Amino acid sequence: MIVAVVGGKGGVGKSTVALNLGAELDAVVVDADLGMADLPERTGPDLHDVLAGRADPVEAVDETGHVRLLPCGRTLAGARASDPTRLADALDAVAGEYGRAVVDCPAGLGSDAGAALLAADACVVVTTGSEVALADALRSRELARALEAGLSRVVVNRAEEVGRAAETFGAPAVAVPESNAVARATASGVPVRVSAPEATATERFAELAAGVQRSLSSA
Amino acid sequence: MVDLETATHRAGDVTLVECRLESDVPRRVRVVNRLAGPVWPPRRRGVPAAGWDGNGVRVTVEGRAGVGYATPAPPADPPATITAVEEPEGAGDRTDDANAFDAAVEVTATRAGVVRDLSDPRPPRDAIPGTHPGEASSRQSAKVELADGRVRQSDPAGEERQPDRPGREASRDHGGRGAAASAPNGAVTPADEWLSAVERRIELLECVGAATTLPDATTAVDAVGGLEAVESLAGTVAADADRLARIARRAESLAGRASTVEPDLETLRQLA
Repeated sequence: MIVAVVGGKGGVGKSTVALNLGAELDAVVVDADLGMADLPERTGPDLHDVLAGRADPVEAVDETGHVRLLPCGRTLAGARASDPTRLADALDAVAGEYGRAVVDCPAGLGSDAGAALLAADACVVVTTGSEVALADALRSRELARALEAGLSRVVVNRAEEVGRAAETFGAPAVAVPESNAVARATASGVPVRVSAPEATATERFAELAAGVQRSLSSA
Repeated sequence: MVDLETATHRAGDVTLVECRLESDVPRRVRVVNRLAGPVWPPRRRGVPAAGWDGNGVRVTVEGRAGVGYATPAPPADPPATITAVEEPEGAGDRTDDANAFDAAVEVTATRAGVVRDLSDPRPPRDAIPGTHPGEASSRQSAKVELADGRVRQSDPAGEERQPDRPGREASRDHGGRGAAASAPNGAVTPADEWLSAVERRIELLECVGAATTLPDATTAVDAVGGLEAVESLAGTVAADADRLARIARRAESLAGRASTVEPDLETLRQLA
């Protein structure tokens, strides 16, 4: 099972959602933002090495943190040497070995986001309530549609309520409120369940994960 | 009505596409590449000029306008077409169709289609320093570069993880790829990138050639992006073969000269 977390606009919280969804689903989180990775760094081979054909994707999965992570390199040279056409095979290999993979996709509609969506069984679109973020999130949904990655859930991040997101996107929506608990957890690179198990955000991420699982099992 | 006239010029391995647009009334149009390769748009300060994406450009035409781009694909007719026309913003209320114009994502749902139709996420080569000081960071020290160019992780417990676990034969085939022409400092050179691109093209064509049943052949052709794309790919690979043979001859000659050149350093030191 491969779930792509997409959003169009940068800075809406895709990485936070991917990390927490990965934790809830006990999945490997793959940081596929080749140019601007922001999930934690780990030692050892990373996705740049994998996409340059220099490392095995399963070997590159780091199991030392709270969430199993296939990290992404930070160098421009590594991003330049990466071949996005290898991403689908890498994701298939990770999902084959570990069962579940959650892909933190880059912002925008580039071929790296496209390659992840092409390999994905479903996607989660992340947006905030702002008009700009919503417009970009709709374009991500269009790309997901064109690549046949079904929209499982919409996350309205930093919001108390989902508003009209479910009608706008045509999929169930989950609101994740802005909170210090999420900010602290994200800064430490840990899922909010670890640092604040009682937080509202933890409940919402659990609800999101349950929804994603339901949509995939009924598909 | 918007008229489009196109012309192509082949310069080395690149096709230059010229598009001349003409309209009596102001119109916003989308011009899309039809050649079997990525669009290399004009760049301003290292990034694609306004209006360009991975598959074409949106431009407002009032009277005459011209746009042009490069692509590694061979010429074909027509090289580009108009896929959408609308009134420019401000010329009236935007309709749902106009919004659809913005939201439309044109991409073929295949691996080759994704790469061909969507923008390349990689930073331009000009943005990469000749040497890569960033690579020499502390995290790099945790990696062990194997003789075949692959990387593995040093285990904190001191026992290295074995990259070649049973059942990973497919991935092992990738070992050493890209290392053949690497610079002595391990940096990825344009030669590496070109060889990798050639290797991918050959692999794609091999997949098509290996198909023995109709469903396999259909899948393989779809993966490339259709029959036209396969024909174009075959032409490119034939050109690759010629160039590789020329490079092989030159490499052999250079290797011979490199192994026999022996300047009399002792005499030079005495003279210096």
